[in-house]
Amino acid sequence: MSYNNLIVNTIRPRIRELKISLHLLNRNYLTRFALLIVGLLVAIALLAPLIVPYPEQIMNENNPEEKLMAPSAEHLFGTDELGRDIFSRVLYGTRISMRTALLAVGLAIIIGVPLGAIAGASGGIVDELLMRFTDLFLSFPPLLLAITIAAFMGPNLTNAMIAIAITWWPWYARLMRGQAVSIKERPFVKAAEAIGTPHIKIVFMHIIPNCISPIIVQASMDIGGVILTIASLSFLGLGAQPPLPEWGLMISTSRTYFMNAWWYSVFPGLFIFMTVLVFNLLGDGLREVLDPKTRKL
Amino acid sequence: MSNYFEIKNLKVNYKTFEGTKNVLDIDNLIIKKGMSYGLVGESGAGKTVLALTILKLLATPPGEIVSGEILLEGENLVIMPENKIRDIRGNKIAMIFQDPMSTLNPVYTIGQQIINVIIKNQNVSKKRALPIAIEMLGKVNLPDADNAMKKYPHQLSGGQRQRVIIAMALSCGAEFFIADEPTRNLDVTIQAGILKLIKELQNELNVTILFIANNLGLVSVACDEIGILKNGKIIESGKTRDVIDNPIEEYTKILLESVTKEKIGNREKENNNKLILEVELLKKYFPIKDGFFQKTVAWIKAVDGIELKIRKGEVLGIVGESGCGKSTLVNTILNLHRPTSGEVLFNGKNMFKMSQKELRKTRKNIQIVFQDPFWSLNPRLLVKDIIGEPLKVHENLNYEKYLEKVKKLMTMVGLPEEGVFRYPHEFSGGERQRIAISRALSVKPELVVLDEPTSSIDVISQERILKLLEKLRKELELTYILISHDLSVVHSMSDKIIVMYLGKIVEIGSADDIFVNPKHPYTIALFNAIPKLTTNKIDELFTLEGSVPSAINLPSGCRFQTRCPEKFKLCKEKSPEMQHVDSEHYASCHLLNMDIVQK
Repeated sequence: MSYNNLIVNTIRPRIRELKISLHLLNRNYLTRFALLIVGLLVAIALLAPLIVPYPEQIMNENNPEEKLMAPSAEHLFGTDELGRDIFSRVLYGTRISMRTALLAVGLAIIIGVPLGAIAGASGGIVDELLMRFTDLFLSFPPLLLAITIAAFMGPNLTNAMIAIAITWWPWYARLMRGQAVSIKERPFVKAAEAIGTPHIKIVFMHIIPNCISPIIVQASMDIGGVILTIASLSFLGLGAQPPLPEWGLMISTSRTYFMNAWWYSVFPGLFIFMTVLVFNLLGDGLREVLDPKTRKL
Repeated sequence: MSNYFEIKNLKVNYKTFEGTKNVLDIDNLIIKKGMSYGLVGESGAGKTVLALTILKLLATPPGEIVSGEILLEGENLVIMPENKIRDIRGNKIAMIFQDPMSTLNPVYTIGQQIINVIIKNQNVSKKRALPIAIEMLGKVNLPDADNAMKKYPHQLSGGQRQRVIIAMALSCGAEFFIADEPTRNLDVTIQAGILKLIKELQNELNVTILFIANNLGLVSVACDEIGILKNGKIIESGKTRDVIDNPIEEYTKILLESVTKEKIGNREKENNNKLILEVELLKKYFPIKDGFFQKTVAWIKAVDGIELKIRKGEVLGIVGESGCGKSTLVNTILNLHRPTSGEVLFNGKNMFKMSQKELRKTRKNIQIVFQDPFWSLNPRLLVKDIIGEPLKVHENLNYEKYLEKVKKLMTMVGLPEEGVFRYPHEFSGGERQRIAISRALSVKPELVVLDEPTSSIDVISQERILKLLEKLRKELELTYILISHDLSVVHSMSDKIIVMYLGKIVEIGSADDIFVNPKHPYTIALFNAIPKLTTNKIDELFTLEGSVPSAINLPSGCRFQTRCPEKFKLCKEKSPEMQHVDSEHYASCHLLNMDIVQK
């Protein structure tokens, strides 16, 4: 058999599985809607500098003559107190929120998943130590931790992201451990043991791949949650600093002008709301597809 | 008698990824009042879909009732509004599921659950409901009903739970029972009891029964009429005896053959090959820890002094009900558990004194095939990686050689070699079991442990798997340890049989000796509890009272005395020794000791 054929043969079943998953995802209207909006948000995030109508107004430009103008054809979402186009800023904010959220969740997964897998697969004293260590982090108030980090390292978006990852990883470790403990008892793991497969290989070949679905579901839901948390931290002045067009920061600044410029706070708020909602919907849809219990062909 | 229950031209479709599929197409099915109708078919034949359709519990989508009528006392259930059907579901039709644990609420006691049902359905006060509940539990022959009322579902055995479910259905005034493989998860001795109960209800309370099963033997004992379901169609039906004695369809004949298993392993009696495995006084106790300092307060004696020898090329069958220690014994032999005491010699070497490296090498020679082919294969791996896992661990092959070997293994168990590029879920239960077998054989083991290899697959595939195993045994000179609660499976394959009860061997001997001339009362009970096609009356089935006692508080004297139909005074006082019956046949029962019996 030629080498080419081998690759085709190995990849084809994976593509078939993917197609089935996509088909299942597509069947649910809410999930389809969520997928569409998430796709749109990702596109906006990637292309933000190219598609916004006033790229020069994103950061510091001052146009006093255009300040706090109501939404119009020229400025779809109106302008802020410095005369900047809110539409451009909100679109650009997607990029910031999305990147921060992905990084924070990614970091949490990278720390949490291996720790959880090791704890669950080893059991005994290792499990006990790792999980109590995890509990330690879980019991720390997240906001307090963010404030502490901001106080030590200065308040900015990167530090906010680190603070979030530090408070978030224990959830992944716990989820992973729970999964690993149950997967460990499955006959295929016992079979691998009887074959003589080394312990570490069992963890990576049999245990982790079978635990990954709930992690993916959790991650997609957490992206929404992290975006919300970043917005809150920024609102409190612990995250993004002006003139960065971060959604939470924009809302925070808009408070002063709320009475006569409703659009200033409403549009960033709407984007936060929509993003969190669609990621939650996507998570629900993914759970339906990835969880063998609810997966129906 | 009028037609109590009737199905006319029922068609049910399923919408799947590949398109719409017809899963049920029944022209006509009639059950008269007070009769029992048995529906037999393989999994996937549409049995459960039918049960759900009758109760209108079918999930739509993906299911869809295309056309047809389901008539209960002349009323069409298909077009009945939801609120009316809900009344019927509780009050007239009751369903008995496979798994009684998931049907009972684990956080309420049996009494609370059954009393609630009675209060709701018969409109009586709590005080009045209590005696009715106890009466109902008595009706289903639940021993010690007063006490059982205070227990939680998990404290009852599977058979007892099934009885509670039936009692609850009866107290709703149900007249029509749909039993969907109600004994699938139960031991044979318990199964016989439930069958008897269902039959009794039919006779005494004039209940109508639709009995769904995949085992023809079971249905033939319990039902007046049977229908054979294949691919959603009833291909043959009629009076039970008529169908069994004069089957018309080829498929029915195959089903009948699968119940009456002939001896597969027919080999020369003399076997002087070398001993491959010797187990000496093996004990495995699990500690029960309690209190703040996790002090050991008691021991679960799962395996308690087992001795056995297996020669190369032999098949040793181990029989016993669930909880008798079969699996623990095997896991200990495989060194997945550390033993409490005793020795296991593999090819003359003590397995428990080996170094890690030696042990890994020895493990290669002892492989295991698990009961459940759905969880014994990693669902995330392609079949080539599943079968090839042992090769990756023990042999260093380049990719092409590796693939060639995997394909060869695949064809050896009778599967197409293209299948290696598929996921396990794309195969049926029987095919998955073949994959599991080929994985076990890929490292050329000497001894293969088959842990209930056929109990979770269809009867027809069972037969094929057993034949395949026998063929492979001859070709590859394998030795098998076959664990099963299905005696016909064990008999058809093994040379030697061990009957286990509560961690001890109660009888040991050649397969024919044990089958033809069983000595221990427990063995006799096990044999007579299996419904056979020749069993005419349900009363011929043997049932054992109660369930297996806990392995923590073992009964005094003989371990079987709490359930033994022939026990006498001595049984309570003294544990019986192994008695020699003839040649290689031993049993541990006082009745076999002539000195004692004469006294």
